[in-house]
Amino acid sequence: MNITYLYYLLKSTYQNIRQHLVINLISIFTITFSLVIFGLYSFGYLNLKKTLDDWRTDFQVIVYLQDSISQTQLKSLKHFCKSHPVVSRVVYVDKNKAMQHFRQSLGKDSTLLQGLKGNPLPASLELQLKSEVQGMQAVESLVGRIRQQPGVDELQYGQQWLNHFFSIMRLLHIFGLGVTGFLFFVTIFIVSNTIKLSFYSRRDAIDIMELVGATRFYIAIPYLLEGLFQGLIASLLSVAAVYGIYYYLVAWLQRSFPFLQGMVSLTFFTPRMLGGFIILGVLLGGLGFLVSFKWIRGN
Amino acid sequence: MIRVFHLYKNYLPTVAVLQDVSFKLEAGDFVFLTGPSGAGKTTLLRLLFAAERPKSGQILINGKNITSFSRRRIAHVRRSIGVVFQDFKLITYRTVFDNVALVLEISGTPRNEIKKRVWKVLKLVGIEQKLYRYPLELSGGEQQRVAIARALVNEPQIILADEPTGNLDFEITTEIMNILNNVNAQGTTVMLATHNQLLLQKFKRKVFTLHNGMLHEDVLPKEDQ
Ligand SMILES: Nc1ncnc2c1ncn2[C@@H]1O[C@H](COP(=O)(O)OP(=O)(O)OP(=O)(O)O)[C@@H](O)[C@H]1O
Ligand SMILES: [Mg+2]
Repeated sequence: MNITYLYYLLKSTYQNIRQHLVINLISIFTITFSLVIFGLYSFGYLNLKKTLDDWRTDFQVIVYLQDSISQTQLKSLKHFCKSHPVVSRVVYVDKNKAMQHFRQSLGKDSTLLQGLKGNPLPASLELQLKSEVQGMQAVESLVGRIRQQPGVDELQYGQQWLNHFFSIMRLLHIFGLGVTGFLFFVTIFIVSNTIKLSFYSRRDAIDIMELVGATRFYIAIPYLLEGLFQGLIASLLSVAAVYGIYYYLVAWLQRSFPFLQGMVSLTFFTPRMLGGFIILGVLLGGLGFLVSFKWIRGN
Repeated sequence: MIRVFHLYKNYLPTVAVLQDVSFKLEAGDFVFLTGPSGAGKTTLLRLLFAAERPKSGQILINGKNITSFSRRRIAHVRRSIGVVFQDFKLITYRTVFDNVALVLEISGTPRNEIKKRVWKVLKLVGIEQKLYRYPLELSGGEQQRVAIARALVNEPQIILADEPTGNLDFEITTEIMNILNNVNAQGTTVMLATHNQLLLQKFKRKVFTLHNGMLHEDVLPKEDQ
């Protein structure tokens, strides 16, 4: 690699792009389009996951205890729950506390409880689950194990809700990956065809270059650069587009649903994800080149 | 420098273009390659810079058998051979300057060196005023001189010239022949294909004649009927 070669590379790449400006623009537009779709998908997925994760920290398994539970049984049950890998926190709520909470939740209507003799509410253990818990199996197995412990009366947990939660996330993931995978496939196909076109329009010159001693590698590099350039421009454009959409979405949410403030907060990509995004764009351009260039090795 | 052993070539299965061609050229040799149109002059030259593969036989350039070379090594061999193509083979979207500079760019010559050398060689063939013209804006003779300049610019060890004076008047032909004689005097091996009998008579050199696919050394061809 020297200055002459660099000069030649940049000049040829520039000439190729200028001569096929419209085709290059189409190619850039295609890459941009699929990157924007991918960007919106990841943006949506990221934020949905974050929101659900926030909610999930509120999710708990409540273990209602039999009144007859002994102190040692309670102690060992507590210990069992605490040492389970899925559980992050265990809070014991005795019968009095339970009554207190109930009273509080009834508010003015707590007078209804005045005629009540004794305390019918059971004591309970409230288990908070770790937010990185994935899938129902972990929760189900926890619940199953606890149920077998002595002194446990009943278990309450949002099984249906959790089930839906996990399967919706899974579906979103598969769907999103499928759609973007397909889009990327189409994109690479289109990019490779624009590069091929650029290449074949130069076929005579390329033959001449070979005859006077250029290697195929030397000849091909400007076309690789053309693909990388398309990918780079497209990824910058799509980051700008996704940011624009994010910006207006936040503004719109704040205007239309002021009460949501604090409950739902949107985050944009981290710098690292942005870097990955740009690399992805350049990669798409590069792959477009590779797909079209059997010529480098063939006859 | 160049050794050719029992070279056979045909394009169509039944028609042999070259049959059992063998010869030897040393560094500093100058040889005319002659024979009627279609005798296989261009074919032989193309075999020598590996633009064609022989059916059988060996070609040694500087002791290396290029018939078995990979594409990559062929590219490197070509950089030590200056070729003047019968149909010029200039790149239409590059200027005269850039066409000649191409060869030096490929071999990685520094930029300012390229400028100097291209200018010098264009002046040598007398086309320096058309530096920034495109090939299609030039006459046939002018294009031919650009093609010659491109073959000379890298100061190759071997020059293969296919009818390099075909479109030139006698005055310029003489000039070009003088240039080729000069580089030859400095040790460059020159093989020049032509069917111009006047050239053979004026510049008395070794002559290879192709006839019916066979190569005869030092036999002057009969006058064209
Ligand atoms: N690519 C090709 N495919 C098929 N036949 C070819 C090809 N190139 C050349 N030939 C044939 O090979 C023979 C030799 O051609 P060649 O070009 O070597 O002749 P030449 O001596 O250079 O002729 P001229 O003096 O007209 O340039 C001719 O009969 C030609 O028709
Ligand atoms: Mg010929």
